[in-house]
Amino acid sequence: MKIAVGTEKGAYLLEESGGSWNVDGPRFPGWKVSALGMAPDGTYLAAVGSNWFGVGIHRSDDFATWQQTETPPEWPPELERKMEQVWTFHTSGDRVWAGVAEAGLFTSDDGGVTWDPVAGLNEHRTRGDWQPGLGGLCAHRVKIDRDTHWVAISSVGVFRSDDGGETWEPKDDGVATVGLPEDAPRPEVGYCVHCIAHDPADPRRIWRQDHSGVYRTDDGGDNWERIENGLPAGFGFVMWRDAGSGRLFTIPLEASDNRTPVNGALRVYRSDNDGDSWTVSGEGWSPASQFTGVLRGAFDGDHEGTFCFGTTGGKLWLTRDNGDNWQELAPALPRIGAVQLL
Amino acid sequence: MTATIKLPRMLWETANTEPAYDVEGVVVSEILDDLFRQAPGLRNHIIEETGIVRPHVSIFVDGFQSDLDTSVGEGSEIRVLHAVSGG
Repeated sequence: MKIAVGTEKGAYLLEESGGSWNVDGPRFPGWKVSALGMAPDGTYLAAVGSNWFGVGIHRSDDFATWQQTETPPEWPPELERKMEQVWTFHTSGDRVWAGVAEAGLFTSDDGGVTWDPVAGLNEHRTRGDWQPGLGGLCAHRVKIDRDTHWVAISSVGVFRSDDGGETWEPKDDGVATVGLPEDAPRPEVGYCVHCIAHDPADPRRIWRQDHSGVYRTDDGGDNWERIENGLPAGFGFVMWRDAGSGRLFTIPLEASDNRTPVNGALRVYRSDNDGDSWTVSGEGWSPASQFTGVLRGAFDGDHEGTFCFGTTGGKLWLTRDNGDNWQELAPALPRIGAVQLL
Repeated sequence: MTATIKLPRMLWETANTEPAYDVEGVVVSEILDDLFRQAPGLRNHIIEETGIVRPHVSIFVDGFQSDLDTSVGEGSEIRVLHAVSGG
């Protein structure tokens, strides 16, 4: 088995061999690897960025040899926006979607070589009210079910399109605001979604790890309800739905102002009842304190019981039995922002 | 004018370009245009969307920090450098 890892300083490929893990890398030395993905034809995609040289998109047939494309997603000069980072790739059919910061969506119909902006979202009538959070103003998750699309934008909220991405509407009813008095009027945008997950078999049921807590919708985002029974904290960045078993996974962190596991106990929590209640996922967790975070892109699974996540401390955790037993892998890498099982 | 432009390793290795190019131009902006004609994938890494040199990138001509209007002499050596920063 192979695990691709995007870190603050390059990409690494871990390959299991004889009970240990060989580390191949770094690819893109010195560059932040912010997103990993796969084009419709199976070509690997990597988004890189640096504080000096901006972003780039790279393609590879084997994860060893990479070729940079001529142009990554770009904002037109007249908009005076900066292309700060590609946060996610999402492939659906023959199209690749990229969520970026400053927040926006771009699509590619040639496997990530060229990109077109999604004007209906990028120039949304509410855009003037979009304000960045601590992680910037980023579109970080895309979900698609035929003509219904969802995008999650930090500190702005979830938008849904029912016409294949032409028009979009905010979908945050029931989600608490962040940074406003409780009696303040509810804004149309300004909801700090951290991650969303859905089950392709029932795509209008979506689970949401938000800055303000954990939520579920049964109607595609029209209404959200809190589902935090059993969680030690509502804050976090991960939400994962295993399509095979229907099991949900999240990783609670203490709070916005202390983004580490509660009392240093790094644990995945899981739910077998669609989020009605949560328990610690299995065994194998370190008894030692681990004050490290897990970011939204750093959790991946094969929907057949194997999951892996990476921490901001550069460690990787793996389960092969749908979260019953977890193993901390030996290699230590730079801060991890992206994980992809190959 | 014919000049040579040299790139930092961090850039040319990842962008899959040559480490140096022979380029034509009388000012830095023309030199960069010729560089981007030969290696289109470098434009985004050196120039921002608004057309200015990225804020943490510097262009030196024969050892002196320069801007897009700086003149280039025959045989000049131009270096693209990035800021010493990060962790």
